Amino acid sequence: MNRQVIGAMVRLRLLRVLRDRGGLVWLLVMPMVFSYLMGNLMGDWSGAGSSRRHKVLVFDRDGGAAVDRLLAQLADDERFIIVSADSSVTDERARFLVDEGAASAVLQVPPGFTDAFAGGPTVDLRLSVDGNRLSSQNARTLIERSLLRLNTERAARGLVTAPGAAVTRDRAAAFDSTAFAEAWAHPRLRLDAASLGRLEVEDWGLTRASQHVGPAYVLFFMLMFMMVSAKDLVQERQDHTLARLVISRASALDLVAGYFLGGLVIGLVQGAILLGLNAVAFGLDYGDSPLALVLVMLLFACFASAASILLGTLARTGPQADGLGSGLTMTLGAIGGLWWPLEITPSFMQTIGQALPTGQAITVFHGMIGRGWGVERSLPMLAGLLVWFVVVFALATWRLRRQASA
Amino acid sequence: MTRLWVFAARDLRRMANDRRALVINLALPLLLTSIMGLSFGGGIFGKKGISAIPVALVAGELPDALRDRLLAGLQESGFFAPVWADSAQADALVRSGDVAAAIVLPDDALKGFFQSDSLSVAVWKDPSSEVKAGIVEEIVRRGVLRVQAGEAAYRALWPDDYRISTGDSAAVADLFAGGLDEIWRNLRDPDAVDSRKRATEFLARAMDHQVALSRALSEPQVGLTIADRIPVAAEDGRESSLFDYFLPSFAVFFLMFAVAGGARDLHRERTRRTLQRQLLGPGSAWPVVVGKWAASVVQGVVMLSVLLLAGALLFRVNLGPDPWTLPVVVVLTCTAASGFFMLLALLVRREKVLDNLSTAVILVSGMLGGNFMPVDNMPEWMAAVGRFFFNYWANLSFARVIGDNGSLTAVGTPLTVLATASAVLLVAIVVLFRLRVRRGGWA
Repeated sequence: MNRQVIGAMVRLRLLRVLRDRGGLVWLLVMPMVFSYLMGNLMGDWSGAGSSRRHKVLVFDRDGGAAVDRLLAQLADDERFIIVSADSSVTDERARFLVDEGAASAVLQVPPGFTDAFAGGPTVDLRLSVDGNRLSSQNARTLIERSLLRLNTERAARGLVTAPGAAVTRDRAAAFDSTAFAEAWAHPRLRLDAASLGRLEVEDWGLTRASQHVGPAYVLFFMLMFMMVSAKDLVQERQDHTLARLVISRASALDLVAGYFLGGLVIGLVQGAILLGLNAVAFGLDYGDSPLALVLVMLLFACFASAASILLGTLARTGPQADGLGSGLTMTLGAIGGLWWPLEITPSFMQTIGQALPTGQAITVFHGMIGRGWGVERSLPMLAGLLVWFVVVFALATWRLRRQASA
Repeated sequence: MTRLWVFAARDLRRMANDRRALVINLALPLLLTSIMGLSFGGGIFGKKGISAIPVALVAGELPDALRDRLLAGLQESGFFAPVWADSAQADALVRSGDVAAAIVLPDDALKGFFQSDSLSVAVWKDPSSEVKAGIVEEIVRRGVLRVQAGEAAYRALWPDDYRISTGDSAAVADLFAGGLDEIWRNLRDPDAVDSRKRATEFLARAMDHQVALSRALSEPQVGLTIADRIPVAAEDGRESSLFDYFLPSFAVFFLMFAVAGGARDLHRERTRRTLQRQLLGPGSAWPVVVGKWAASVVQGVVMLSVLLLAGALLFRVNLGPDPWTLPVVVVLTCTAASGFFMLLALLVRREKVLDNLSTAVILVSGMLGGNFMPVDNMPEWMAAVGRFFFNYWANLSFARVIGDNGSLTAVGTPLTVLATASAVLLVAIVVLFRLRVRRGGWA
């Protein structure tokens, strides 16, 4: 092994990257733009983090006090703006308004709504929603909850015996409004939801989409940069630079080491800067085990660098390497769960995803962030990454040595 | 016009012969959309979306009959894959990620229901499985809310049942002492012991109240009709899915890469001097650039058509209510896309700058225009910015046609925007190209 040649190759690669301003944009700027925009787009998995206020259109043909009570909870919710109209609207028009995005939901309140709660005939509200929209679903939940309260109160009042009549076993003497309000506000039966992670608080962990998006796009752009830079190796093959190096002082093994270490250093530097920037800019958390974090980044960078060499030896032209590199990165990213969490896919897609290096790396991140995984619990996934690296590196070495000696 | 078609046909021939471009523009999008289809779409490949959610149930000393009913009910719903566990096992299962959540009923749930001042149902969530755990939490929350509503009404009607006397409390405690068999014996023979009699009377009274209230609550005074968007599935038996949105949105995303490649060709020809040679010929300059635009449009139409047809064949994606709406959307999307990237190509001086700029523009506009996420779920400022990108209107049109089975009238606004943008961009391209040629920079 010629350390001087290897060192020169690594230095040369780093210099090339530093001098290419366009490349630096892809190395550092675009991943951060992606983290920011995608984190914002996905917001909070529960939807609570979205800053957008959604419109709920209310066509109120009743105008009574019960409508105010029905809408009170929605009005108090910062996510919604209620726009009231005294006019009527057809069902088709209401549907159209939701479909066109003019409102997240349209509520039609018929005349006699308030009277219905005072013993009048029953009526039906109509709520037009779009089940595919989170805002629509949230508006529906709030309206259903308020209506449940009104209906419950009305039903309970119906069980009160008329003044002067005997109170039978299935009737009550009176309805205590204060007790109802108190029991509604402080129910005896409660739901306690908790995350059993490293930190048992709700506003933490993967509830924020950026905790998935941040590491996912660091891995994605690390791989993308490496794969796209495979065209440099193709260019050097075409320019016979490789042959010239071998003729001079470098062995084929030196070339492999030089290319591999160059890619590895770039990948690690890129990964470290991006993880740091994500932590500072978006307050991301990577768990409690720095060693596990270092190992997953190291193994992933090793794989990416080796894959770049393999691609560089397989592609015939620069543009071919470019296209294949982008394609492979996108495919590995999509199947491996870098674009969306694997848990929302069918189980066979999860199995395939976790068998890929992208899936293994992001699973370790999820484990570290959510469950506080250390090296020991990450071991199966780290071992998988190691296997990928060894196999790809062996193939890349074999191909590059053959081409260098040819 | 003849010159225009000559230039367009020449570019199309070259595109068809470029195997690399075919792989990148057709095979890769087809592969990626197939992956998305497998992840979300179902279609001929079977079940779609989220698989049954693994849930641990902790129910303390719940009688076996109730446990079995609960387990069977959850399994039959198809949403859950439940397993029984004790508290420690459930904790371990959630922490290891073997289940997405655990539903923990209180110890002595049955007894507590009659006696306790406060009861709590817990949902323990796996923080690495926020989506599935969130679904479990939401379903349990809905169930708990119904119970809370009933209890609030009960308390307002029969507060004495809650202000249970010491004697009644002791009697009920005595009645529920021991195992299920013992409780059953106590209930069958209440007259044997005074306290049992007192307890069963108390329980019978409470039960009468409960039944009366349940009856009253079962007939709500005001109903709520939910008019959800009618999925196309309801009409033709096909299941709708996220893939209905993501197939066209990703097709538009890849279309942008393809037409950006076509626009780059302008610079490549300039560098190789073939552009200058074409401009030396007789006639005006505009057919050269419009020919490139037309070739790019045809390439885009072919690409989108292949992807949408593949989606329809493999994943049963809806192709609209009639044979013309979707083709109109496809054509106008391609004219706007080609115009936009051709204009970008004329605004920059070198191919490499265009290369970096177009990729950056594609990625950013892809995010802001709704290619990665339905527009409605974006923050307000993002949705507002998104409207300035043609892909926003293209995605909206596709969503209306494919997702809602909308006809031309349903996509009138977005199509008008796309048509106007296409016309304006085409005029801008011709004017800018003529200016460049006249000033000598491109000839």
